Amino acid sequence: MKEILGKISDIDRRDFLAYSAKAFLGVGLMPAAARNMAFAGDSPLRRPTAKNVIYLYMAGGMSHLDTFDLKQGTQYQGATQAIKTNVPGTRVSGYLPRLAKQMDKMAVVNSMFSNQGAHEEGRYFMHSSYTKRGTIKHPGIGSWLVKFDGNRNPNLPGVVHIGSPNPGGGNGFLEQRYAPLVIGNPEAGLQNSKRRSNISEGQFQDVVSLTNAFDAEFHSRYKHKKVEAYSEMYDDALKLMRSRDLAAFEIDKEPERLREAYGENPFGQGCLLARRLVEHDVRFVEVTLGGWDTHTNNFERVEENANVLDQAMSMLLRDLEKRGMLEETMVVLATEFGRTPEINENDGRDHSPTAFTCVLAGGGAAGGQVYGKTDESGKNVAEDRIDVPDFNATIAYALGLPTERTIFSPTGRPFRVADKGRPVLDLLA
Amino acid sequence: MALRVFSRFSLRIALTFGFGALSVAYAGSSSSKETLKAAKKIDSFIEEALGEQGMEREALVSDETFARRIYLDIVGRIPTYSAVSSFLRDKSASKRGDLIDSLLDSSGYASHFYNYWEDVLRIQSRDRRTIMVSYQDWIKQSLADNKPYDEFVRELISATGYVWDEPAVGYYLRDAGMPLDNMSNTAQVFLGTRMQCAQCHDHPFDSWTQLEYYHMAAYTFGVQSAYGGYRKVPEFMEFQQAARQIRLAEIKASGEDPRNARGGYRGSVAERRAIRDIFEPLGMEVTTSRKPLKLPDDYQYENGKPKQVIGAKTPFGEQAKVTRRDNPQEVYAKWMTSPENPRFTKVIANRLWKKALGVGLIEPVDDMREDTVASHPELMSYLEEVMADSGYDMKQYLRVLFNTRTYQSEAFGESPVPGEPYYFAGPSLRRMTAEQIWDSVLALAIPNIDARLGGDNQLINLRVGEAVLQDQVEKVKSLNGREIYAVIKRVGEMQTKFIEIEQTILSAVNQAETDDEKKELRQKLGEMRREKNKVIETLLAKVTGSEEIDKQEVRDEFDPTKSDYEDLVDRIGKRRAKQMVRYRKNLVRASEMVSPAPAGHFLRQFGESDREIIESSSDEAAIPQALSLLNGNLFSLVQNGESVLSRELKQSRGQKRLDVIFKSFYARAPTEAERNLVAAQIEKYGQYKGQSNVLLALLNSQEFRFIQ
Amino acid sequence: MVGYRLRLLTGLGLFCSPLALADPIDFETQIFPIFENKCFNCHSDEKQKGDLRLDSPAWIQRGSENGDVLIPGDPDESTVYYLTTFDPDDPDYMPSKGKGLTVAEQELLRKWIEEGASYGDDAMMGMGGMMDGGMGGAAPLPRSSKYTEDVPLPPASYEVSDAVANLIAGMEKDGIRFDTVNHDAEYLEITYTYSEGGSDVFDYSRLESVAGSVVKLNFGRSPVTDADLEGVSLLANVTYVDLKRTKVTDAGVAYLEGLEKLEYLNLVGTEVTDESLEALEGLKGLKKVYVWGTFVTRQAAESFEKKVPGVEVVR
Repeated sequence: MKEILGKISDIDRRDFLAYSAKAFLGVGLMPAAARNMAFAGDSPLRRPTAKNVIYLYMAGGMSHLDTFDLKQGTQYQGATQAIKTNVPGTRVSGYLPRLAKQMDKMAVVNSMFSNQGAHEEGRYFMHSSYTKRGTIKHPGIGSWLVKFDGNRNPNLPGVVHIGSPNPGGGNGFLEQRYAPLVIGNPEAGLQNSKRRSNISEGQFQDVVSLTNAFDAEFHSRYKHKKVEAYSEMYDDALKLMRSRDLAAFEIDKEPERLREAYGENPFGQGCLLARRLVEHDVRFVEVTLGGWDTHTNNFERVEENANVLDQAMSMLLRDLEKRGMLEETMVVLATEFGRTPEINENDGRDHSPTAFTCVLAGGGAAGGQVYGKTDESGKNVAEDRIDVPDFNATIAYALGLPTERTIFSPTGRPFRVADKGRPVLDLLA
Repeated sequence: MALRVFSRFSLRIALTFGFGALSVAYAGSSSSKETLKAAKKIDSFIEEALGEQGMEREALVSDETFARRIYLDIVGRIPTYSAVSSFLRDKSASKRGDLIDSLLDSSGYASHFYNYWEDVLRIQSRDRRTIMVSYQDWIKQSLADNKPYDEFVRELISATGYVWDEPAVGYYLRDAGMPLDNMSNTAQVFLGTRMQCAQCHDHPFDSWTQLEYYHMAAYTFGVQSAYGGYRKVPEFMEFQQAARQIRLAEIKASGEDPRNARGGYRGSVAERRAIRDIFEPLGMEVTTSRKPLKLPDDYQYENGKPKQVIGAKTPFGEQAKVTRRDNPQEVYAKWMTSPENPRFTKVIANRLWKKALGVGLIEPVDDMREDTVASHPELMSYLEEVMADSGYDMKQYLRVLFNTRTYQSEAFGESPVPGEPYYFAGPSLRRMTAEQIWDSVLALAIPNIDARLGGDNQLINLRVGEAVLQDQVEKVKSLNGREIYAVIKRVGEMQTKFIEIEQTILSAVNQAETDDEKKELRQKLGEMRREKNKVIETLLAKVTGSEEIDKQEVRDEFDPTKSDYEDLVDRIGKRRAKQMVRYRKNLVRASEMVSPAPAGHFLRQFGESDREIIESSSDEAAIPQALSLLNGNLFSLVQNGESVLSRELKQSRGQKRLDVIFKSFYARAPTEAERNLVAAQIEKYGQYKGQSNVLLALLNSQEFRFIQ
Repeated sequence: MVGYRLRLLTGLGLFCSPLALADPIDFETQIFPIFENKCFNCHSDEKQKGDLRLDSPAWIQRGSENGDVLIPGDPDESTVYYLTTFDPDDPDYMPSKGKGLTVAEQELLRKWIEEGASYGDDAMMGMGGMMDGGMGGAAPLPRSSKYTEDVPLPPASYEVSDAVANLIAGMEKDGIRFDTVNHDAEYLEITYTYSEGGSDVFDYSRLESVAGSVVKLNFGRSPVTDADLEGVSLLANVTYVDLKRTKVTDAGVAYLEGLEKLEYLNLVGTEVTDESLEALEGLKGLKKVYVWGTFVTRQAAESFEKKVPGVEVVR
């Protein structure tokens, strides 16, 4: 946590004071002398160890019934087959053969519950823990993380979205500097990050100063948040252009074989880029895979999507592990809702938010478990229901964020990282 | 076929040269009594509310600021140097009104407002199996024709057929396979009412119940639009029957057990693929049926039972009964667009108000609740009156707004606070939309940008795709089941042959000794594969005795670069003209581009919507924008010797050059301070480099991207 | 978390021992050894024939692919017992390989099940963790997993004293970053990645006043050199050192020898060799050493894993 740096913005200062008082009632501060003692007891590392998150978002509503929560032998299953995993007694879909071999790393939550059955609302809720409102925008976990904890890498943005920006996953009411940087095509990386070849550094510098000079009058006329956001953004862009960390965005620096192993598609390459970015201390990288809205032709389409997911995510887990990054990088697999057990007349499945699957791996997640159960059809949660805010609180808690703490928006309304969600500690090792 | 080409051609002429007959029918003018009276009345409402707050309206904008603003607001791009200059030179007292009128009648209007509706209606043309270019054209045409808004919506809601015959069906094709979502979107877009939540349970914050939701959904639930679902298409069923008969006859002849002929015709793998390829396009037709809508299995409230069949009933406003003879879609459309519908008029009046002034009287524009009150309730109802009285004439309504003193005030200096009322001392300061920035940069670069219609490369490919689908559907429909059976058999045989030939050639390639031999064989392989890919097309043409569709013809018809070439050739010679045309190939206005632009495209970087969610475009700052404007290719376009700006500069000398530059970017002359800044650059870097620095700085400046 | 799991199983024990006889069979000392000797070959963490594990109460409860293997109170319905009593020639006889249960063992098992198959209060101790996975089909484990108003989160602190804050502020000028670790300001992580290097950046004596609090050291991608690691053992509580993609060689790694609590060491992408592993043999707390992209050989990694029990060398 970065509290120690006293970087609390004015908005939350009053709450900060109230909060500190509460903190002192807890462990409080040891006297300086005690600090030097060797700690014999519980090491703090027994607590979750996530520093970064790679958030794989399955846009459209991933069918839990055809991926992680199969209903073999029932009328609801359709063409999907179950296969064994490397954890005895647990099964996943035959569309996920490679992830099945990494089951020991994954905490599969089959008891997710949401009350948002439309895409936009569901995506918003999943990302922000709040339902969509017309009057305020809520921040996503990535932006909360950077707000509380700062950018680790001073040159790179703290939050990056690859593929598509998701509603509710942005900076919300937090300042623009906590907003995600959106990379459309992972192979193109961060486009236009190098100076035009016919312009020298000095000339470039002069253009920047000239722009600032042209802007001076405009700035004095408009005290406008959007105008200020642009000045800040240009400063960040220039800092980025000059940073050696720019290489983080260049996946063509990776060996060809590794690139193929992730899958030669935007999602696979996006996962590879995510790994590079996290290696360079970007805190939160979201990669989106669309196409899960399988109202028609569910089984073929899930198979196609699952294949892309299976290849990329399993490779990502292996790659992170090999590099010693898995302990501090939490890989999250999320979606807005699941799909109906009933197979409709178009051989598809419709939206069903009352039970679906999300997965945590790495970053202190307790792998090798299937958490929660759905009923016989997979329509409703039967055991250990986890609401969307609880799931997000678990991620936040693993990251060391104070889930209990209230922050006030510029309009004075109170909010928390994951609303009233509570961390589910069984999901953490 | 000929007819279709003709209709497209006429569309193009129409878009290029503006509209005569139809627009006259709705013509108002800025100097008409009605317009001026309405504008005044609006101003008085605003003034009164400002007075109550102890606020004053901002000063009247200068001609320069007005020109830039009105161009961006009506045609979606900044004015060119020559347009600004002639407006500023104009001494007539009615020149602002005249400019408003002429811009509303220009082709840029349709382009700009199309972008808006593309965002609202989430129109996707890229990566979809249901191609809908005709639908996009239809919306543009409707805007250009100034089709009354209520009629526009009625056509969207009640359309059935194929998209090339009835382009408005694109509205249902967009949500193919999700009729309930489609209905939620309809309520949100046209009635400003969010019913999504009630899809699964009673709405937690509003009064909608799940039952009401189902009642409303029942009107359009029978609308079928599932691409891929060709099994219920009559032509397919006829084919199945024919196939069974033929098979039965074959079996009888061979003495096999006739029970083997039971069930649908399956055929070999190649035949099954052929069946799919032949019939799938027929599933694109939007049809209606009386399919009953039932409550979900887990319906939990006492006012209904699970699986109970639900009839059509409106949640508010007048009741709209569906009798046996009525088409429920039409009843629904009529109810929705009736002036008696309490929300229909309010929503469009408020939407267009927001579009002009930057903030709605009701925010957000599409989430009205029972207890929603407009910031200026009397003004809101007056605006509804103006909208309804004009006969839902969107141009006339906008004309009134643009002629108000409220609109013509200087932009308000502070950011609007969400959740707090906005008093309209002036329009809010807005960042250009992604489309406005793109179109404005192109306006600096490419002559007659508004006339480059037809589409970028991808959109033209989609046009070809749609033409091919139409052609195929028409041919398949003209055949009977037995004929289609024959075609499919033949396709199956030919595919098997092709695979054999393919393998022969491949092994020959492996054995070939010289590179030339290999090259020749590979060429053959390529030819063969092309033939293989269009075997269905070829066969269908043969069987129907008609010609194969000429894709190049379709392509040429819509190529926006053609006129460009003729213009360039005279000035810079054939070779460079060809290069230039290639260079500008996909540089068309945003409305003419595939939707959404690919992730990472300039438009997406600046916040163009991904067309997944209603009005999800964004105007937030993001690092790729700065990188793109500072280092990207777009600048070379402006700097290029053939750009609009460069050509204007070539004709100017000395101080006038500065005038050209500043009026091109900002629609105003440079200030003294700015002149000095420019002079310093030129002194340090020389004329060319110095000027280039200035252009790059202006492109990156705040005043360029904001609309004052 | 350890404490938490324990509570969970305690509950389970109570749940399953309704018949408190005078001298009940003890699972841990009497039954578990039978399973261990006769069944674990095929039914534990290595292999799970028939999808059955017998190496923890939870797994036993979970049963096999055919459902429950144990019905408390009813040995004749419990396959885990009655299959062992079949004729050894019977195809269903268990164990299918190796020596069968003795008559005494069979009796013990029978009695234990008759008594209600209690696992005792601290059955989990020393038995290795049980996986939570796949409770499908078996009786649900009682859980109270979420923290609620009644079950508050463990205490947390995010702030440090002024003295520490001042020290940190001074060092941050050199590009050194401080973080508290996981909700507890008593523990610090120090990151050198974005420091430029220089004379006293790596002078650990500057950290003397907080030395006991430093548990994680992150040098990854920093300009750290071998010499810069001299004296690092002053930070005696460090459990985590990341040296990935640095210029550090065997000579630098040798300085880590003094970090007795070290559990995690990342050497990915450095030029270290087998010598580094040799230097670390004394660190018995090591759990993970990452050497992918270095010169460490497989033989050395394997031999290291033998010498330091519980360590995994990832390469």
